[in-house]
Order: sequence, then structure tokens, then C-alpha cells
Amino acid sequence: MAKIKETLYKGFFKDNPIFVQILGICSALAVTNLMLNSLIMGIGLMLVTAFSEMTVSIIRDKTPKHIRMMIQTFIISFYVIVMDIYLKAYMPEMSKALGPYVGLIITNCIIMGRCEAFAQNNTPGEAFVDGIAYGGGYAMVLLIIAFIRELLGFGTLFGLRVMPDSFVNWTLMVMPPAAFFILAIIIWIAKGVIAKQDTKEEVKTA
Amino acid sequence: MSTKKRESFIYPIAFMIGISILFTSILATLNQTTYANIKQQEDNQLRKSILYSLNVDFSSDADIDKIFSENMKPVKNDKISYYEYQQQGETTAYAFPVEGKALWGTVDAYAAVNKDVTELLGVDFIRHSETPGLGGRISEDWYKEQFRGIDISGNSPYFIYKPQSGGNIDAITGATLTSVSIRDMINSSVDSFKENYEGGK
Repeated sequence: MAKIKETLYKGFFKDNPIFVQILGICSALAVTNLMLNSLIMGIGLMLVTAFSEMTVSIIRDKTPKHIRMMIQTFIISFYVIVMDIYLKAYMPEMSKALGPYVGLIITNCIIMGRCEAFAQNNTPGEAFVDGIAYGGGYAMVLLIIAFIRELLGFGTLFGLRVMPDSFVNWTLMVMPPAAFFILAIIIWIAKGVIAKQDTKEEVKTA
Repeated sequence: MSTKKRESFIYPIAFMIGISILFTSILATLNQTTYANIKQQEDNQLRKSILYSLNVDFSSDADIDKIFSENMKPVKNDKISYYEYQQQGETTAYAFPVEGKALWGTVDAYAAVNKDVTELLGVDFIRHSETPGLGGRISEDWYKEQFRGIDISGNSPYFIYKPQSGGNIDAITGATLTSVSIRDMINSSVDSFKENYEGGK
């Protein structure tokens, strides 16, 4: 239990893929102008990471070491296609909205990174939780960025108008550069906070 | 299992083939079982788009089926295929497919015009691969609704972005290339429909 907690803490904050490891930036910039897109993208990545890690972990003892990356890529693409088919069959509206980005989950370095770094050496259960934690960390940052961008750029949240009518949409927020600014600010704040916590802990243990 | 065996020449190949067969067959099965469902979703989507472009109201999927079996008459000649929308046996409007290239890929759409081809009733986009949130906003209502009721009795171009003189529609901020492609695409397909539809000459 304590281990699960630690994994989750690591995935969401201490080793967060986006603002600590700076992985998966491209998609974080691309889909974050609407919260709904970010949410579905985040959930998708979370599930793909978790299941890929689990599968990699299950067959890790049988996998020849020198072809393991090929196998990992194969497994990841398998789950991405499954998700794409699922969205097309049961959530056609969402599939339309996300367009090419579902297929692009496969290029997200977080998944491959976690398969390689964690799933290779841990049990399937732990690997699954690890996938949820790191995918969740990614989803969280996406939602934070999307929250700021959609609120200021469209005056809406999840498509519902929340700003007063007198609010003038800040168009820059909708455009790609805004994602860079906001992401940079988030990384700045997060690094500051986490770095401070780390030094405190070190002092305690010393 | 010994490391030696895992690093032999044959084992990795056999392993990769085995894994491929396993996962590919799962995917093939999944694809087969959902194929009918996906096809139906796509057909339904297409029909909804056609009705949207004609500005015809419908409330349920059964409605759509009814309209398509009673009011829609597919027409096909060697140049184009389109639908005639009929009420009490009289054609009142036409809906025809629009296709063209935008920034990232092909855009499929439907456009509808009235009986005399003097007014555009509407457009709807069926498939596109524009950037979500930027060019992808062509499928948002505020953009599509602008095309309703635009006069097309004169000569091309019928659609001009504001604030150019004679402008009648707004482009999308941050998606200039997509907007321009869509405008040109609809302008030229209205022209080609005028030339090719039956009863036009």
C-alpha cells in the first residue's frame, strides 16, 4: 500500500513526466486548448501506459533482451489501435474531435520510457499502477494548461460559458504559443516547489 | 530459461513471430466485431451531415431513415453524384459532396443549395484532419452557420472573408490556411455543381 502511494506521488509530482522529466511535450502543447480534448487524451494515455506496462512486465522473463524495444513498440501500438477502434465505434464524436492525436499517442515518449525503465524489472501489478501514476501525472498537467487556455481563450470550461459576457476572449491563449508560455510557467513553479521540498527532506534526514 | 537460449539465433525470431501472430489476431478479431458498428456510425454521421447542410430538422435515428427513404433521391451522372431533396414529389433542394485539400489533408464535406441554385442552404464537414482547436474549428457551429443563405446567383467567388470588400463570412483566427482552403473549395464546388447538375442547362 505504501508502495502504491509512493508510486502515485512520484508519477504525479516528484517525477512528473511533463514538468520534471519534460517528456510528452508535443501533445501537451497540441491538445490543450479545450479541456474535454485534454481529458480524453489524458485518460487515453493513462490506459495505454498502464496496459502496455503490464503486458511488457508479464512477458519480461521470456523476452530476449536485444529485441525488447521492438516488442515494446509493438505492444504500445497494439493498445493505441485498440483505443482508436473503441473511440470510433462507441464515441464517434470524440474520435472526430481528437482526430489524428489518438494515433499519435504511440509517439509519446512517456509510455516507452516507463516500459523500459520500470516494467522491465517489476511485477505486472506494480507496472500497472506505475502506468496509471505517470499517465495520471501527464493528464493532470494537460488539464491545468487546458483550464487556463480554455478559460481565457474562449471564456468557457468543458464548453460551458463561465466568464461574463463582457469578457473579451484572449485569442493568444487559443494559439500554440500560449501553450509554451503556460507550460514554462508551470514548470518554473513546480520545479521551485519540488526543489524546496527536497532540500527540506534532506536536511531532516541529515 | 537460460540466457543462452534467449540469445540464440532462432529464439528471438520465433518469439517475435509468435507475439505478432497473437496481437495481430486479437486486433483482427476486434476489427471484425466492431466493423459493422463503425460502418453504421459513419453512415449515420454522413446522413446527419447531409440533413444539416439542407437545414432539415430531425430528432432521432429513425427520423433520419424515414427522411432518406421518403424524401431523398440519389442522382448520379458521369461527372457528379448528389441528392435531390423532395417534398410532395417536387424537388426543393440539392445536396452534393464537396472535396478538397486543406492544410493537413483532404476535407470531405456536403453542401446544399436551393432548387434554382441561387442560394447556399448550408455546409457540413464530414471528415478533416485539421489541427483540433485551430483549423478543426471549421466543424463548429458558428463557422458553419455563416454559410447559410448566402447568395450564389452571380459569379464566383461567392464567399469572401471579411473585412475584404464584399465580405460575407468570418475566417478562423490562427487558422488562415485552413480558412482559405475551405473558402476556395466551396467556391469551386458550387461552380462545378452549377455546370454539371441535371436540369441546369
